[in-house]
Formats: sequence, structure tokens, C-alpha cells
Amino acid sequence: MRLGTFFLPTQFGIPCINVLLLCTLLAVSACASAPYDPLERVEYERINDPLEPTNRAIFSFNTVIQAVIMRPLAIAYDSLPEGVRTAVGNFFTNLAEPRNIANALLQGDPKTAGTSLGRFVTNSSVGLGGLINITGSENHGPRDFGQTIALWSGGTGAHLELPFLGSFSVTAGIGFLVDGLYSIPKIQANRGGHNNLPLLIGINRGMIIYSDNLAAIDEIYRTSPDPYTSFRNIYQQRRRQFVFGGSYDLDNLEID
Amino acid sequence: MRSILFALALLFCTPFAAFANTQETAAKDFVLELFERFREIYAPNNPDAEQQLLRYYDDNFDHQRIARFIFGSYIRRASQQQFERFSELLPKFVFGQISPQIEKYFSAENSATSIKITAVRPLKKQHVIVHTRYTGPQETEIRVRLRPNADVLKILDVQIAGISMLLAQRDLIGSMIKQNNGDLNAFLDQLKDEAETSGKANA
Repeated sequence: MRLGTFFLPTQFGIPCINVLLLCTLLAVSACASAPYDPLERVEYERINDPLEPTNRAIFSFNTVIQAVIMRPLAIAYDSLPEGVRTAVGNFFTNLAEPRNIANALLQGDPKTAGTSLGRFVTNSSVGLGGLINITGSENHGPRDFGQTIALWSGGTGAHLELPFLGSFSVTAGIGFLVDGLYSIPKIQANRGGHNNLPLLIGINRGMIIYSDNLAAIDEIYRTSPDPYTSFRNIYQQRRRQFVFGGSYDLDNLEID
Repeated sequence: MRSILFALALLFCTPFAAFANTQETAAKDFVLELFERFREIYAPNNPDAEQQLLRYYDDNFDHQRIARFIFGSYIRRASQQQFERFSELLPKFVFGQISPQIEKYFSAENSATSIKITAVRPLKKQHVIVHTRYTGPQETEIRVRLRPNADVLKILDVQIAGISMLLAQRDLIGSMIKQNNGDLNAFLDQLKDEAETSGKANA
């Protein structure tokens, strides 16, 4: 299941819009009040969603955007031949390799950085600009700047819903902005004056991720009495595993 | 002296190692049996699927612990009667939520694909996690967390693609209670409605 990837930050390449959105969001956000009861406070801190009222409003907006824009696009994309979809997916995965290399180095993991470099060189040249995944996906280790900050700071931060983009943690949101500034589409746009390139690539990438997870998303909307909470929980579980690796949280669940 | 110490160490450690091995084997067998049961339950045209699922839950899940964990800190506010009603409604509600996901891996159309046990890991308090890999259209890891209860293994949690069902349900239940302004009776009424609605939707 690739549901989690829908909620992971990717390179949309529209950092300026996002900075604006993030600042506006933080400025106008309504906060949920923290409970006084110590046990309920522990739960409140675990969920870590102090902007819940604002986040819920943005989630409702995103639900409409998904239904009106993303869903029809994803269904149209799904009707393309599988070979085409695989090639497009490979292309975007390859485009993100420089981000993986930089962040693996920042996280003190030269081995993964080396592997990503090898993948990028091979797939960009022999793999026809990344359309063919020559190296396979065995050693693929996606990294982002949000993960780097979270590893260095020891936490993923509060939950955020961003208009058009969906679920993020604060560190993932900051990482998304920084990664976007140094993404290949952004650099190309700066060089050639193709200002819409990052946005177009971003929409494409978002559509692919949405399309991969369409059935799972529909299922949550159909069965959950509170889709906002369900999506937030899935995002948070996936994000913590992505940042801290393995089954850190799940192994430490105090069930007794 | 060294050989005496070695012999003593061997004497003390062997039963523990044997116990660990027995527990691992029992956990593997348990999960294989669980998957077999799921295949039977999700077989096409099984009119009794929901009832069989609930019976399996009753017999093989650690329902008291699961209910307490999912109710979270609200358990302190609940009367014994409210907790019993919650425990009674919970399985139907949870399966309404997760049944479509489980069905995806065990339904007849995916029966050709297989699920293999890849690892068994002991955790603290004699909990065991059994890792399995589903090699269907989208390769997925399914983990089952078990705990011995009166010498019998019981399921505590099922984690699909790294998502703990227990944690997901705890957040959802907490949010439903909050939306009912902490009124547990109103929440239990909503839970009953939701359990019935999702049961019908999945039928």
C-alpha cells in the first residue's frame, strides 16, 4: 500500500506560494485549548494538533479541491497505459534524487547519499533521463529536509493542513519549502525564465501520488466518521516512521 | 572456574532460549492460522462473514486490553456500564472501519498471491510482533502484535503498511468523544449508529 506517500511532502516546487500560505495560516490560526487534566494533556501532546480548528477548515477546503480538481485528473491519469504511468513515476522519483543525496549527507549518512548518487547518474543517463528505472527500487532511500530537521531537533512538530497540499508536520512543511527552493525544476525555472515549470511539475507529481492512493482515500471517506482525524493519524504514523525509521512508535506502544 | 561459570550460564539460559523458541513457533502458527481464517471469512458469497469475524475477534483478540487502550484517558470518566457498552460496540465499529482493508489482502481475487512470515520479534512484557509480507499488486508489510494471556496468545494490534489499527482507532474514538463534548452516552449512541452504518455499507 502506498497510502503514506500521499501524505509525505514531495517537491511541488512552488515554495513562494507556500511561504505565503504558511505565514497566513500561522497568523490567522485558531488554536485548540490544551486540557488541564494531566492524562488528557499527554494525549493532546501526542496528537500534537494545536491548530486543529484551522486545520479542519483547511481540510474541508482541500476535500472540495480534491473532488473538483484532483480526482478527475487522477482518474484520467489512471486510464493511461501502465507503461506510461511507470515511466512518469520513474521520472519524478529520479528528479528527487538530488534532494535525497543532500539530505542523506546532512543526516550523516554518506552510504545512502552514495547510493542515491549512483541511482541518479545511472537512471539519468542509461535510463533516458529517469524514464526507465535501471537501478530498481531495492536501495531507494528517500530523504527530505523535513526529516533532517526532525532528526536534529528530535521531533516532527505540530500537525498542519496546508491549502491544496494536504497534511504536513511543521518540520515537513519547512523541509518542503527548503527542498522546493533547491529542486531541479526551480533551478531550471530560475535559469530559463520558465516560471510555471515548478508549478506544473508540482501538479503532475501531486496528481500521480493522488492517483496511486485513490482507492484508499475513497475508502477512508466512505467508512470514517471523522475523515480529518483518520487522515491526520495515518499521516502522523507514516511520517514518524519515515523520520525515525522502522517501527519505533509501534514497538513502544504501551498497551498494558 | 570459567568452565563452571559457563556451565551455570548454560543451565540458566537454556530454558529461557527454549521458551523464546517455543513462543516464536507458537506466534508463527497463530498468525498462519489467523490468515487462513481470514481467507475463509472473506471467501466470496459468505453470508455469515460479519458474524464469523466477530466470533473470531471474541476468541482471539485481547478485547479488554484493546477496549481500554482505545478508550484512552476517557475510561476514568466512564461508569462500568458505559465501558461494557463500549466494549460491546467496539468490535463491530472497528471491523466496519478496517474490514475493507483486510479484505483487500484475503479476498478470493487476491488468493493467488501469498503472504509470508518474514520475522518474529519479541518485545518487552512477552509481547511478540510477527512480520509478514504480502506480495500482491502492491507489496505490503502486515504485522501482528501478540500477547500471551493465560497461556494463550491473543492479538493486540494489526499493523498494515506501518499503520497501527489500535492507534488509528484510539484517535478516532477520542475525536468522536470530543465532538460530543465529552458526553459519553451521546458518544455511545453515535458509536452504535456508526457501527450499524458501516456494517451495512460493507455488506
